[in-house]
Amino acid sequence: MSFIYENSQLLKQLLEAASQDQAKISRIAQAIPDPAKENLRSVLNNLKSQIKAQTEGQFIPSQDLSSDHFTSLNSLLAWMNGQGNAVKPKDNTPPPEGDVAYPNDNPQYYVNVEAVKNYLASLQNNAQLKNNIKFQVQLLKLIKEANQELNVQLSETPAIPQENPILDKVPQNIIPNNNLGNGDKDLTAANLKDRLAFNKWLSDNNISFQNGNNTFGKSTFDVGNVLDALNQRATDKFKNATTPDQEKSAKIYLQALQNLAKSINHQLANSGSSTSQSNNQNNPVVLNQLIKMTVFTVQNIDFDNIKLFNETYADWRNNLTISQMKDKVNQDIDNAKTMVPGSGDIFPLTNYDNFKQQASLNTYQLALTLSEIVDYTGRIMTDLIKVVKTKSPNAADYLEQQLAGPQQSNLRFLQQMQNMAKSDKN
Amino acid sequence: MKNNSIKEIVKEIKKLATPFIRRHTPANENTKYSPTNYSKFSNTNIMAMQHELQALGSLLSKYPGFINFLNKNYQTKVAVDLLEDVAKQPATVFVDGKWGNNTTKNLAAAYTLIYSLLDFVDNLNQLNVALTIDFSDNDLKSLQSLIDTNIKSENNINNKTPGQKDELASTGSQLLKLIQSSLAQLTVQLNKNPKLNTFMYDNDKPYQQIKNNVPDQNNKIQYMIDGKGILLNDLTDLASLQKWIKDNQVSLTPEQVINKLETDNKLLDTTPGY
Repeated sequence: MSFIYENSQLLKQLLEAASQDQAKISRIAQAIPDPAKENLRSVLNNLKSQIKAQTEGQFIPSQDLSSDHFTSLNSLLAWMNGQGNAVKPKDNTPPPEGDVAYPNDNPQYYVNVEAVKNYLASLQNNAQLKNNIKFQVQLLKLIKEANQELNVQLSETPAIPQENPILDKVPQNIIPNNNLGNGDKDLTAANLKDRLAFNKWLSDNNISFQNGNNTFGKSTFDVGNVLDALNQRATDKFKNATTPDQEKSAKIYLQALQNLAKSINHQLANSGSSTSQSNNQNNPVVLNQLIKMTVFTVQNIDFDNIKLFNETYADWRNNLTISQMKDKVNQDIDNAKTMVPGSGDIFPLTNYDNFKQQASLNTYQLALTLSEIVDYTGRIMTDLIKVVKTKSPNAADYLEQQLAGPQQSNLRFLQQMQNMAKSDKN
Repeated sequence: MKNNSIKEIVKEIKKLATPFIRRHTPANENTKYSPTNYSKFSNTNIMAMQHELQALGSLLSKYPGFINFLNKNYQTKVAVDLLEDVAKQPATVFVDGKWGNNTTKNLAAAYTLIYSLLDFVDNLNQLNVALTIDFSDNDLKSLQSLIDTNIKSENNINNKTPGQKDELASTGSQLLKLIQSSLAQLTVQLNKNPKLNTFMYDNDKPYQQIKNNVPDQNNKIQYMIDGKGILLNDLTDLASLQKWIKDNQVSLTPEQVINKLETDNKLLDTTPGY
């Protein structure tokens, strides 16, 4: 290090630099904030921003915001009252410029409409509250009410973006039986929403359909054929899914196609029929059909539907208990039909007098038999739900709704019939 | 009832919900306590409908969280209380097969409930949440036609023949069953969806927490304004400061109090090392 001493200029520079550095350290040490002063500074700054917002006609809440403040416009205004100037109690003086008296019939507040509007708009855009669905429902209701009562003219546009996943990448030229050949035309659930959306997708992407050696353009092909081909692709995607997400997407795809086909009165070709004739077991198409089936309704008991459901599932499940329950239901259906001579396959559940009239001989016994039919079919359905849930937790929602709603309603009605029949005898 | 707005319906229910005076009510077919007329007017279809009203009332108690949300946000409290009360009555008292004010009142309550459920489903659909119930707008109209409270109207139940009442009661039963199954259908959908099951529980936390209470140790320091002590808690928001000014009869505006505190405590000097 002797070179330092040989260069006096360098030594001077180093000493100067060191002294400056020391001064910096000293200043940093002095600048460590006093916590008490910082607390005071922070609350005063907060107060200043509240006053500034108030003078600019904005509302900044100073109290916690909870669901109770959002149950109605009245509760919102009551909460805003006393927090700044946006909402003030009405007194005998005329309302300040830009304020309106609310409610019309018996005013309690002077309301600065612009401030209320700005506040509601800020909540609409609040990213933290965007996924809070309870809050969003309350906010939507409030905005409707504020539009009506205060004419705030706010949009009721949903704040939650609609999920619209890509279901398939379709080749521009659709060739039946060429199922998994991927293309570059994105097909989403929104494209399958209805006939118009699907037509637009076909036109926008200039989709064509190949039948043998002939290729048809949008104006000449049958949309039903295109739907059949897409259904085939969706079914294959379902069969070949390797992750829950792929399976979920394939189900949405199948469901969307089915809804669209129904809306244009087209019966989709059953792509699983080649295997379902001889052995249904493990065929996902069978399960897919079963989970969409309407077995129970509030108004009646449909023997045909119940039989179809039980037999199809028992065949698929290949389980002794399920088979025995299915046989028991079939036997009960035969018995019920014997008790109600000339009845069809749909038994109406309207009221006691009708029921009694139909039963003719033994009202109580008929109610009991029908209860068994509904009860055992419910158990078979429960088994199916369990099976489906192991694969996809939400797939059996429709069946669960039927069990909670119409099936329970049927059972309650039949129980009532039994009670009334008993008291009739007494 | 021409106007089907929810406020009107609630008003009607409140009107109908005036308590019965058991011993002094004149005996007629609209009076549930009229044993002498029981056999004459009792009707099994009406009984079935009354059973359904009780069943609906019982069903409500299964979903306390959701019903509480409806009560708060969709003005259903009066209707729900009525239906829950009727569910608690012994069947031998309420289910008398006679369609009087008491039955109409509970039908109106059922109407309010399903009207609100449809409104709730509509709101969620508007937020792009797919929810469905079987009860339709046409069903709502059918139910509304059963609860005409205008005594002079030909649709009023008092002006119907026993045969017409019989038929209407049958419709009423179907609609009430459909309300029950729709409610169950809806709650299954809410329960299943993690985003939506919040409607089923009363576990509300504030949406936004605004006010941060000053920790006790920081709140011990008292600053002086015009000889009056002021704490940090008095300065957490404008309302608190205004209250302090009023309570202490200080003749300063909030802005003046802030300026004074900043000057006295040398907060305006922001250069380091002051």
